[in-house]
Amino acid sequence: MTRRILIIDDEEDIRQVAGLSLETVAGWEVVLANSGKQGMERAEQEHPDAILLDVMMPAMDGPTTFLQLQKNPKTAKIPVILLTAKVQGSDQRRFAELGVAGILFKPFDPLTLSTQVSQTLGWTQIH
Amino acid sequence: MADPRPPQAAPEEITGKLHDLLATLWSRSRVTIGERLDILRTTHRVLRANPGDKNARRAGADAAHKLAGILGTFGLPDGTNLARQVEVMLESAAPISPFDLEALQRAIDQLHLMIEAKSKDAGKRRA
Repeated sequence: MTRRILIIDDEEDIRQVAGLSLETVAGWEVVLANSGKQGMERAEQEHPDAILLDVMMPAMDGPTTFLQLQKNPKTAKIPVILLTAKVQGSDQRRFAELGVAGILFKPFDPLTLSTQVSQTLGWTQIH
Repeated sequence: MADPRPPQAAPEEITGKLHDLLATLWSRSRVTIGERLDILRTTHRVLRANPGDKNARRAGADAAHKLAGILGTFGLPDGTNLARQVEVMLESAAPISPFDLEALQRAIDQLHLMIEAKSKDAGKRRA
């Protein structure tokens, strides 16, 4: 069964590279959203197997989006991986305490992003 | 939360295909990346006239943060490191010094050269 991943990021180039990477390397189906609000709608409509969620976004940032996803029974069980360019330890601890499935860092390697996602979520098969 | 296992490499055929797709994507992202570099140039110009301008620092830090997140993803890890140094400098509470302004100008020049070189490489790959 093909995995379906929702990528929520306000930066188009990040969405495009991550999407291209997951589709090309892992053969996953990718759904894109350019804001927390749009991401919440897509999560409810598309029922992705996991969500890659940018931390720094205008209007609704990643942690707020995650908490909203958790409040909705239709999206609460979808594992969420935060994607961040913040490398400070204090930021990482704060994100981990939210209860996300994992944290991946920008810049990511497009060749190994799907493997990193799989490993973070404990998926044994990439495809 | 971090997985200690190294990410697995993608097969050679997929690697080549992904690099071709990334080269195409770079040509589109190049415009946005150039705009972010322009914001850093503006930040430098404004801070040279008024070192206390907080809006210019904020705008510059945001642009540097985004550059740090994307450049390494396109195979420019040194660009990510430089942009991250600029982000840290501009986010710092310390007043901007003439030394900082020189460092910022050097970073902008180096980032410009890296981005130009990458554009030439990507152009060759697509040709």
